Amino acid sequence: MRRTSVVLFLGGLAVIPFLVHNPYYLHVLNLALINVIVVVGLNLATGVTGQIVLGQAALMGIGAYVTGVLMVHARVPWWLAGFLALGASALVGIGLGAVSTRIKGHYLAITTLGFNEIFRLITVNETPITGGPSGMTGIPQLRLAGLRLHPDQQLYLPLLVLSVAMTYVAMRVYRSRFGRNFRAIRDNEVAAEVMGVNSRTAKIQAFVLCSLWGGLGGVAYVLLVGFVAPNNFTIYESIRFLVMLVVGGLGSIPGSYLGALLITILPEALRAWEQYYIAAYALGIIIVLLGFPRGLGAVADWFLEPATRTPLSQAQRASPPRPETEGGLGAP
Amino acid sequence: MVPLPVLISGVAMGCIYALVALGYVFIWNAMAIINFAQGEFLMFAAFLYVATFALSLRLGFGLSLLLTMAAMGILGAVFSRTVYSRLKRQSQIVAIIATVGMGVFLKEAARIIYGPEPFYFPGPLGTRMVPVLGWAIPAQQLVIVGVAVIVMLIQQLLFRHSLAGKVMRAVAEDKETASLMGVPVDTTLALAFAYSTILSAVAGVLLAPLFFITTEMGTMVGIKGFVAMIIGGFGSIPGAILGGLLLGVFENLGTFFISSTYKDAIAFLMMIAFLAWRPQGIYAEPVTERA
Repeated sequence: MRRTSVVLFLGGLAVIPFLVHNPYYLHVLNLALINVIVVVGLNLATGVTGQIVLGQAALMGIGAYVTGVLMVHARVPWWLAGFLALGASALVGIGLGAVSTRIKGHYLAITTLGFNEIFRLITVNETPITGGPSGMTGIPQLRLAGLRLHPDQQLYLPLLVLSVAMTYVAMRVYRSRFGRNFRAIRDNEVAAEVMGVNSRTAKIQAFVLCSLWGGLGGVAYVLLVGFVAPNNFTIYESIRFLVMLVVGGLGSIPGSYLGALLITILPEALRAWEQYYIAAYALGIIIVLLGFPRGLGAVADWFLEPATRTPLSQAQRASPPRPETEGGLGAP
Repeated sequence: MVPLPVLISGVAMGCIYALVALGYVFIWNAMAIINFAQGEFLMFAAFLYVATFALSLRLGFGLSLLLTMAAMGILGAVFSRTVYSRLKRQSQIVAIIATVGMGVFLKEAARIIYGPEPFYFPGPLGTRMVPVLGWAIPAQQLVIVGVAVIVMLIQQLLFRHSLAGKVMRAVAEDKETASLMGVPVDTTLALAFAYSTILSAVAGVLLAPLFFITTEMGTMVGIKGFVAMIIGGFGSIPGAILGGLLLGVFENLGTFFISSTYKDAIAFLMMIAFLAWRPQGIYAEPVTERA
């Protein structure tokens, strides 16, 4: 039953390009799939490891800008540019991870926010390299050989596969030894260290994964759109990723998938209320956090059951007094 | 040699940062929450003052200031009871995300109420200049410094000598004991929160004539107020004031000597430097784990 539903859901997503020919609708869906990758990465650091990141848009931006700059200025082929961009993202992730071992909580929030703003300042001001405030145009979009379709039609299925694959890998990480260490640090860092978890290494790992996923989203974005501008990667965008994360449920990887789809597509469906939806998001984030801390993850985790179950959550299910199994984000 | 106007405008901005930093300190001491919406309270106050009281209702400066303070105080008390009092019981990361969400909500509320066009209101002083030691100094900057000093003096008197001030300090010190002594803790917390939003109202009104009023104006000021608090010492009242002044002056010196392009980056570099070498800030308080 559950497995059938998941297969039907993904199958439904897969047939969309054959039924929907409006490139704009497909474009929105493509952006949603890219956001899935970025938010899943954010979840690994913020939801699973408990390290607040308010600069995920900048990590995505690094992937996008490095790819774009290499392709335009150095005429590097797209796959090599993408790989180098991922390498750059990983390096930034190591740096942020190292910072997070010294700087915690509120300080980390403001530091990652500052990181996002400094990234924006650099992209706006270093015009010869980045194209300045108006951005960088003419980045060759990715075209599959022999197809004469619109880029959004060509790339929909590859992006769907990529988003599912990256979500699957993240779920595997969640259940692996790494994921266990991450969760241990989130729930109680001192206790985790006492049990032999090297919190320094684990945090750096979490941040590298976070920025790799974010960077990959950026690479996909630039190859799809062929254009980057500083406005695509502002603090406001980072907060939007945070909304997707919270709506999907902090710590639930499949929840992030649904959260990113919903928060990207919903505003397009509700164009008439365009004025109000950001305000509604902001209220939504508070209501979800206070009232439904597991978010859409409650649904998604159930559908994907054995795969989302961890030994810890099994143990917790056995003892009913704590209903918020995965949502319990540790002692205040 | 540094020209005097550079220093004075640094001190003026420093006073704004100090007021914002004090707002963080009061909420932190009362509820152990860092209110990442602090800058947005300032922005909202600036909109109330300029768009509602000064331009629509055409009220005078003094009355507009008082009404803005009153409105922001009420708003603060309401938010405190409806949202922030619930966040006290949540984990830190949830509180951070929720207050960031609160900031976005205020920003959007201002955009929905007042529209996307920026406002400009020069205030009673306009762009008047005052000669000081042979330099022309904008009068508004001197007003900022003057009002900030007066607010801090009144605050000192209130918190040392009035009953409300003593009660607030008692609650910050130990909620349970204060409650046993018959102090209405929840009301006091709402009062402390309202005081913090009143401070941001003052800052917003003072800052309004220097800039266009946009929904974005509060974000950077809010972040820099937080940085000022870190520099001064987390949760310390004199620290917030000193940190704000230092940040304002250093930022202007950096702009003057190095470059104005990366002005906003200076605050972050100062913060990272402090976190690396003196994480407890200037006014150290005994805490085991900080940064």
